[in-house]
Amino acid sequence: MENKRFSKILAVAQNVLNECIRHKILNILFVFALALIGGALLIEELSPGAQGRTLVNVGYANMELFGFLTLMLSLFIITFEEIEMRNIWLTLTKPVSRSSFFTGKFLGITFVTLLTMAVMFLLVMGLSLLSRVSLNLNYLVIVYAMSLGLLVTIAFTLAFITIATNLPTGLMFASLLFLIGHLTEHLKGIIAKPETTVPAKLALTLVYYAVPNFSLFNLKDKAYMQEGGFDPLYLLLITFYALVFSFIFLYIGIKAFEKKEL
Amino acid sequence: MTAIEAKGLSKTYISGHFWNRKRTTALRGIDLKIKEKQVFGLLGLNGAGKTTFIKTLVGLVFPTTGRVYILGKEAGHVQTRKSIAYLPEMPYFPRYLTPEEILLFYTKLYEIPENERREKVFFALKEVGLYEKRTVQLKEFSKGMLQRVGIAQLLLNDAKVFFLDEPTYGLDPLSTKQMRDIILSLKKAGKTIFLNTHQMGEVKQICDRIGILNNGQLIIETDVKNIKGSLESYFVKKVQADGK
Repeated sequence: MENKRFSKILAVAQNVLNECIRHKILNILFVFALALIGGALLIEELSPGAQGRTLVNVGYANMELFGFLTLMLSLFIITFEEIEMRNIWLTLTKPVSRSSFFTGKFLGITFVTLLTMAVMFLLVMGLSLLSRVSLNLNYLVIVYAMSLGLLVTIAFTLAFITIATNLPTGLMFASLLFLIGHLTEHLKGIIAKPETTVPAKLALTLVYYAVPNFSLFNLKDKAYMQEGGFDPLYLLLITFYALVFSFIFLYIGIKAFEKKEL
Repeated sequence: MTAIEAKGLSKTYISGHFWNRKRTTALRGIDLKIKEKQVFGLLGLNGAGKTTFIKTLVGLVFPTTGRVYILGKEAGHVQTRKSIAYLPEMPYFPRYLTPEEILLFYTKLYEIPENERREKVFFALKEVGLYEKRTVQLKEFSKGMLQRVGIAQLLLNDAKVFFLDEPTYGLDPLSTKQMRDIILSLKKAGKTIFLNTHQMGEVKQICDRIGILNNGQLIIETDVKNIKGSLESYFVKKVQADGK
């Protein structure tokens, strides 16, 4: 029974992956991302003495931006075609549970995003080698942490677009949460300030724990300071943190989707 | 045995934001029993609630009150969906996939053994005359061709109950005839068919029983053979007599 359920989840995921990798808009975005990463070589020429750091920094910044754009656009395209074009009607009248369908869609978008990230990473590493930058495992760890952040983003975006009455509203709220999630680290400073009132402290503490803290997944800035690599315990903790948040958002999304009328 | 049963089925849609809720009642207390191997035609004006009714039967929308059973099981349940096939009014498919890919995807959901999948897909595509176009992306397809892919997906799982919402919508005369032939062959094979349509000729030719839905209420349910004269004038008379 579980085996059949899993194969249906994989079938949905494969369908999403096939649809996305052939979609013209996503292809254009992908080519644009690669061109921008390649363009970092020119910036490298303008900043002598940076020893490849510019190339890597620009590469990572593009990976983060285009990873986010890819997942947002993929979710928009897939959900638009499902709901507005109503192709979900045919799928959900087949013997597949709504939870399996939702999980499959999550996995499919995750595959698309990771595939995009992998190709961009290979390009960054290839260009870095060409520029004689000495590479180490830290570069891979940075991408791993970045991908964990994107995993959480996929989960909450899916949850939001399921709960929201329309697709743009869902995407808008998800983008807002993504933005707040990148600023939660600053909340710590505000909470610690003596002039912050007790109710404000309570409210901010609540936001701090309820919203995923994306700065935990940002290892770019720490990369050059880590001589012997990142602490494995820290990596384990952020993996656990990302998985917990992803499961919570997936659960919320599935429950909302099970009640959604199509 | 009863194939389709609706008991006190009502559906009210709630739309708008919480400060401006709007309620629209699409179905009002429908009681209906359709026997196995029967072909039932549901007639009604535009906006009468026909599509909502069929969507409730296949589990896409949930009843506000009442219950729906297909072959004795709750409608919309995963197990129930193994025995049904559904064709929406204008079927849409992922645009960048091919008919072969989308039908193979459906065979996976139907749990058809891997070694039989391709054979089933090819058979269905041949039946609707799209075998040669099986590797063309669906974005290249016309409305009529998409409708034919929709018909092909009906033939994948050896369903017992078929729900067809305007199956000849957008089809040219030849494809319309092909569609009717497919429905008739399903009827001959002893399948239960629930048909939503505006085509009175289709109903007279195919259906055993009809129901007329007006303003969300099932105002009449009768055998086609009981109808004297043209079905069209019968329909108009009943709807006008209902007066809503």
